[in-house]
Amino acid sequence: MLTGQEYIESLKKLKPIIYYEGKKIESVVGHPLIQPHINSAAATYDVAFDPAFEDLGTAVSHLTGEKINRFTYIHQTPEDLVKKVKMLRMIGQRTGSCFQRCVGFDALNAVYSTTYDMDQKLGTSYHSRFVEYLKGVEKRDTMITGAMTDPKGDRGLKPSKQADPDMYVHYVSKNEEGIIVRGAKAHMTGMANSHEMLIMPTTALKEEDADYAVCCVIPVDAPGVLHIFGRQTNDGRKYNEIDQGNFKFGVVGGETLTILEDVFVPWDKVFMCGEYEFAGTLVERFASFHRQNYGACKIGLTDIIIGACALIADYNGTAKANHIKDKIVEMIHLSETMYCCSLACSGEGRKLASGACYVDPLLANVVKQNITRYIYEICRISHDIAGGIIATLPSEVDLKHPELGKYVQKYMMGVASVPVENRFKILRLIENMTGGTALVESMHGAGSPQAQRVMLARQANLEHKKELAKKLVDISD
Amino acid sequence: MLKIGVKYCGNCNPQIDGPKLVKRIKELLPDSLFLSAEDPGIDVLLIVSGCPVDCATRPKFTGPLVVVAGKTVDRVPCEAAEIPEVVAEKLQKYDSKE
Repeated sequence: MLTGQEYIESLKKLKPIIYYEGKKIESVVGHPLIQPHINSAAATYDVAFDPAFEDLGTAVSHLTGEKINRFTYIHQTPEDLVKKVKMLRMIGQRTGSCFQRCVGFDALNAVYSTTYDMDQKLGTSYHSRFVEYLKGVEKRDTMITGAMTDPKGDRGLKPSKQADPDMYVHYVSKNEEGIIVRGAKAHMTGMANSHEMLIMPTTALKEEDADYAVCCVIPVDAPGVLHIFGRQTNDGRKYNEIDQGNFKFGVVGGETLTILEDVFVPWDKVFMCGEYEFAGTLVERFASFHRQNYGACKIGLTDIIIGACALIADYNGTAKANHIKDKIVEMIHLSETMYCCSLACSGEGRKLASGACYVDPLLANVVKQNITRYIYEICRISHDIAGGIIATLPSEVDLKHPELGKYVQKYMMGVASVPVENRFKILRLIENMTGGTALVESMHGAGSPQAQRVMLARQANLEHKKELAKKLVDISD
Repeated sequence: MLKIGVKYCGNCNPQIDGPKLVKRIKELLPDSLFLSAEDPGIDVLLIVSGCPVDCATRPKFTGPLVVVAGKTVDRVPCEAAEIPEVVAEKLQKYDSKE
C-alpha cells in the first residue's frame, strides 16, 4: 500500500498532457488548480495507515490474502458493502470534498463480475486477464479513473448513427498486439491525478454498435491521450485561501475532458472488445455501485455542512431561535435518510456468479434519486440559516487590507466574542460547499435523475404489485 | 507488563474520540504496553468503536476483550468522562502481576 505522500510522489513520475485555458500544465503536483484534488485523493491512501480508520480503509484481498487499500478491493459480502459506505462517509468528513477514487473502485468491481459472466456465456478469457491486472492494482495501490461517460453527441441517436462516429469511444482497429481506440470521455473525475483510466461503454449496445463495446485500461499519459481540465464555479479563487472555502481539498473532484486520439491498448489490458451483449450489464453494475456511494460520501459532506450551519448560527447569534433549531433538525433528517438508503442497498447485497458481492440495484438507484433532491434541500436550508451574507461577503483581501480591513472587521462582526475571520471562514465554507459546481454534481454525478428513474421502473416488480392489489379485492382475471 | 492490543472501528460517525480516549487510558496505565491488535503477544484486546453499532472487525484473538462502543463499556452505559477510568480498571484485571 502507498501512503498519501508516496501517492503524490508517484504522480510526479507521470507525464500526462493536460491543458487549462489553453495553457499546458507542466506538473499537476503543486498546481493551484489541481493540488486540492490531489490532497483529497491522498486522504484515501492515508486512512489505510491510521489505526483509527484502517478498519474501513483497508481490506484483505480475496486473491492474495494480503492487506490492501479498500479502494482496490472486490466486495465479497454485504458487510464489505457496508464497510465501503462507512469508509466513504468517514473520508468525506475529512476532506469536505470529492476524493475521486470511488469511481475507479466501482469500475474494478463492475468489470470483475461482468468479465466473469461474459466468459461463462461467450467462452472468452477476459476474466483471468482482468484478475492478473487486478493483482497488480492491489500491489501498486493504483489510482484509477472510472471512465464511462462519453460526450454522446445527439442524445437521440445510437453511437453508430452519430454524425461524428467519435461521439462514443470505439475501437478503430485491432491486430495481434492489441487495439486502437478513439473518442473521448467527459466529466472525468480525478483523471488529472490518477495513474490509469478504466474505459467502459456508457450505454447498453446492440449489434450495430459492437465497435463501441470497449473496456480497457489506459495510462493517463499514454501516447494519444490529451486532457482538458474543466472550469469550476469560483475557480478564480484558487489563488486565495479563505475565499476558497475549503482551500486544502477544493470542491468536487476536478474534472477533465479526456481525448483518446488513436490510442494503442495491448491485449492484456483489454477486457471487452465487441461483446455488445454485455455492455448493458457493465453499465448497470457500475452505475449501481456508484449510486450506492452518494448516500455515503455526500453524508460526510453534509455532516460538515450541518456543522457549519450550527456554527454560523452560533456566530450570528441565532442559534437559540426555534426555527433555526428546526431547520438543522430537518437537515439531519434528510442527511441520515440518504445514509439509510446506502446502508439498505448494501445490506441487501447479493453474490454474483463470480463470487463478488453486488448492491441491490433498485435501492442503490433510490439512493441517488434522493441525492438529486435532498442535497439541494439541505443546501437551500444552509443558505437560509447562513443568511444573504454568503453571497455578498467582502474578499479576504479586503478583510486583511491595511486601510479597509478595520471597516470589514467592524461591520462584519456577529457575536462579539467570535473573531470576524472565523465567521468569514465558515461563511465561505458554506458558500463553496453548497452552490455552483458542488450542487450540480449532486444532480448529475453517477447519472442524471432520469437514468435512475429508468432503473426504478425496470427493477420495481410492478406486476407483483398489481397482483397484490387484485388479490386483496378478489379480482381473478 | 500488561500488553494491550488496540483495535478501532473506522470512525465514520463517532460519538466519542477514540484516539483521545486511548491516549488518556495510556496515561492511567503507564506501565502497560499498547500494541497493534494484530500483535501475537497481547494479553487483552481493547476494542474502541465510535458508536454502539460496534462494527470494528475483530482480529483473530481468543483472549479477553474490553469493548468500548460509543458511550458504553462492555455494553453498559457509561458517562463519557468516566470511560477512561472504567476501561483502565477493567484492563488492569488482566495484568498477571495483579
